[in-house]
Amino acid sequence: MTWDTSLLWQFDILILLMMVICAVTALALEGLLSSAIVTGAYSFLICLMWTHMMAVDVAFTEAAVGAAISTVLFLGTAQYINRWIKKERPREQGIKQITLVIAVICAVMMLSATRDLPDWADPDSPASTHLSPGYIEQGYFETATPNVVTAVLADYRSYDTMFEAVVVFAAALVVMVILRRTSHKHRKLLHLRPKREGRDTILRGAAQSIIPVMQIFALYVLFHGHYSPGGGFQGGVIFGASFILLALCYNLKFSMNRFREHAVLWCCAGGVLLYAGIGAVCLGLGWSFLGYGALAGILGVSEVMARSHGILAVEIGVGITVMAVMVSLYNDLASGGDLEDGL
Amino acid sequence: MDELFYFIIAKYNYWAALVLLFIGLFGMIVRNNLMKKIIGMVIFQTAILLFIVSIGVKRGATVPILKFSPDKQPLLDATAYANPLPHVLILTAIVVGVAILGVALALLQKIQRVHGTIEEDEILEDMRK
Repeated sequence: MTWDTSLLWQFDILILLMMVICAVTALALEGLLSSAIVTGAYSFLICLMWTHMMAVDVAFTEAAVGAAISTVLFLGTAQYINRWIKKERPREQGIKQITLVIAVICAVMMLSATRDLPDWADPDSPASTHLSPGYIEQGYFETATPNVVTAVLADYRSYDTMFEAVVVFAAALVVMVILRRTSHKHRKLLHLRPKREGRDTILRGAAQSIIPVMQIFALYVLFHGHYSPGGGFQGGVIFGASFILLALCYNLKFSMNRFREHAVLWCCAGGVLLYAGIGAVCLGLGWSFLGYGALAGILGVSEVMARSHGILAVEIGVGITVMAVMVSLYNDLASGGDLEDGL
Repeated sequence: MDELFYFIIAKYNYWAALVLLFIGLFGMIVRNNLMKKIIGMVIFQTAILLFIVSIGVKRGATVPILKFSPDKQPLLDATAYANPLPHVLILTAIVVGVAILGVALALLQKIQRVHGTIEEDEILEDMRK
């Protein structure tokens, strides 16, 4: 029994321990803001863990979504609620102890079951020998995409990805339906809240110089997803984050003047429509839904290259939807649905 | 002693995922504050994602992006690349996770607006009135 030390288990155990500490701290802290910040740190640690597990695309997504957007959404809500937890009542104790006992028993049972799992990082584990070698060995010849994750995401499992985009789109609509108020009687309360003018020169200067770079980087991530970590999800989230940064450094009004609500909604729906539309075009040309090989005749390229271009097209669709949904979620959650004043 | 060491090394990642899973679940059940319940849900979710990605790790493997030899031929050895399939599933799950988080926080703000509190027992009292 030999152990290849290339996986650096000491590093792993350190990060995992820190993750457990962060998780406990985030749940134990009383203040809403502080536990939101600790949750952000937790996301950052799991991002390190994923880089170390060679899941770079996942780490990229987590860095953009978990450590950035989720934290901002948490902070927006915490600021909206803006109150501290009262002391918990004594009658909670009994429930707590019973739950703890049950949780520990379940945990011990599941921990003992890990003996039957394949060893961690075992190249001969069932998960790594059944389906994935086919993707790695044939993916390039079928889709001309060196990044296997992108090829699987947008080609072999593109139904999955399409409906994920639909789920994200639906979430944006649901948030809007929940938070928007139709009656105007609550609106007079808004003036009681302090208005943020956003006159901080340093923040504005930093935002002005960072935002264009962020947007170009987001486009690079989106269009270079075939050859490097990245793709529609990551590019879209980074592009959306640039508008959120604008709203944080100036104010919500300012960013909503740049990217109006109608445009946001059109982008939300347009990305999904682009994705489904490409599938429908393939269907119309006599292939299966999302069988990008059908596009070979239209684009005048070989079938393999057509699949590569098809992947790019649906990634653009995913990117547009995700970008708009992130902006929409922020706009609604940071302002309590009024779109008047942000975080 | 070596046996025990190898046993720990071969399983610690699953253990960490399970511990995080139960921390998240415990937080979701016992915390009275609804926002803490949401944080528990986030931790619960990432624990599952950690477990699934752990399955795809291979010793001595690199990121699942094909390398090319100098004469432009891809190096196609499945053991040299990490398993891409869990990565795909988790990547989309993270983005859906933030969508779920958004909906949960929206419900939270609505509850705050209607009941004036996000403490579970106070909400229940308010509902009984």
